[in-house]
Amino acid sequence: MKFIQLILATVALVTGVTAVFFSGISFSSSPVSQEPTRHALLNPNPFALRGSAFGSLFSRLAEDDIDRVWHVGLEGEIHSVGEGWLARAREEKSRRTNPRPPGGAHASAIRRDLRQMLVNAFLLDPGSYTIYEALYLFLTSMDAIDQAEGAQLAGELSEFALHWISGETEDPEPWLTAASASINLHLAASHSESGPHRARTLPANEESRISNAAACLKRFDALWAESGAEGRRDLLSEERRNEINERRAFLGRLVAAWQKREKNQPHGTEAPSLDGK
Amino acid sequence: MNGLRLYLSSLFSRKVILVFALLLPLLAVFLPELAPVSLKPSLIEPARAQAAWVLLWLATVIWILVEASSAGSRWRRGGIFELLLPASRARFPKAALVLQLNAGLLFPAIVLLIETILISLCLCAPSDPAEARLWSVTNFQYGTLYLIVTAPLCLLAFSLGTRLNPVVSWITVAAFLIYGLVIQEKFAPFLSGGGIASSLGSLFLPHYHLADLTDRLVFKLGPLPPGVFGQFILYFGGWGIILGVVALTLFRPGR
Repeated sequence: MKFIQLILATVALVTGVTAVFFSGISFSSSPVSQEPTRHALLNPNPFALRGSAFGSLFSRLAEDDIDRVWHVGLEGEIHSVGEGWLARAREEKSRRTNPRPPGGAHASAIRRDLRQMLVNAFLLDPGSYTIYEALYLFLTSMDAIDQAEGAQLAGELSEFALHWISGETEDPEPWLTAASASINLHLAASHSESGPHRARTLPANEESRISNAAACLKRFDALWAESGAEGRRDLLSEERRNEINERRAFLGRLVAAWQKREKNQPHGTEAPSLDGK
Repeated sequence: MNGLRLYLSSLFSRKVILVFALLLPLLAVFLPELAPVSLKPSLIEPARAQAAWVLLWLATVIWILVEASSAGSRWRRGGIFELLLPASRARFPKAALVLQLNAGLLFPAIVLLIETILISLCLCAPSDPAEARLWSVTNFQYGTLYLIVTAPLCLLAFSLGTRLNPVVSWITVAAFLIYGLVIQEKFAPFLSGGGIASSLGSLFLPHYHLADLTDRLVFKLGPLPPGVFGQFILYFGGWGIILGVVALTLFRPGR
């Protein structure tokens, strides 16, 4: 009896190992996804968290943490969060009383953490302009990051955001991110134009970046009006609606100024001023 | 079928299953309301399906596997196996007993799975009929893969429970599942050098993340092609046989 059991167990084990082994071989020979979807860029994505509704929830929740790490950890200051004893107590609890700023290894560890937090939050919701702008600012302005590397990463980030948002037909907000990304790409190109690594000619697509940004804003306006007509917009809080409107107005002024400048002096290198609305 | 009846009666007398059976649909409907999607209501329905499936995996880790390992441990200490084994007229009494008990242990998993699929089909299906058909095929594939993954793990947790402390056996099996679901793939980029560590981890530890079809539901990617689905069945079936043999070997009926 024992002998039969042993033989059966051995046969079963051999079958199992063979099945695993051969299916493993055929995995490697036939890739599961034939065409690269925009979601394939986010692999691995356990439980489809990145890019889903819960992704934007967690991305929003991460904003506060990122804000605290950036301001308390690196700058030693925290914004006032509100009135009342509890708000002040939270503020005081995080205020740095050590007169020396975090130095050397500690500061670079904080920057590494911050960068990882920003990248994670961005991948959770690539359409969120708050996180996109913060990550872009981080990559292009932090002293500790190599400038060329930071600029290249920031460019890739903007391209990714544009690619991600290109299919959006319902939510207006990501189109503000797309407009920012277009403007940033244009700025980066004209910056390298005036910098030490002067390029002979602008790449062909650079001249259309600004018109692309204008098109993104037009898409935003259409979807924003549509969401207003369907009553979806009224579900947002007053502050949030104002914030979005302000953002839209700011980007509109920026795009208008660039367009005016391009019309007047097509090969100038100075950035337009934002004073004229 | 004494083993099955025994387990089911203890399950119904303890009523923990009610907590999970009620919480799963409630949370699956209300959790997506927390997401900031007022401007994008079309995200809500996939988010319900996502919540339901993630809660199912969560319930598997925090309850179904706990139940399996604690049942193994409790019944061995109580001497129930010694009572049931001599009464069995099966050809391989030990294996028959373990499999019967595990049919019972899988019962809560099947109840929760049916709930999940019902939520996914009734509350989240796309309105376009062609897409809705693809959606239900995807759900069916996901459910099948879920059961093929969960059944051997229950068996393993149960048998380890007859050897070790139930907490230890639960943590072992849950870590195995979580490694395969989440960590295996997270490590992939670091281990892609083709070194020994990567091939060992990839070959000797399971790729349960392949059974996680949540992204195919949330992003409406459609079902797996039949050939690929067959390979997945073969792969997880192979792992099931290996874990099943290990579990039957580890099972210890005596006090």
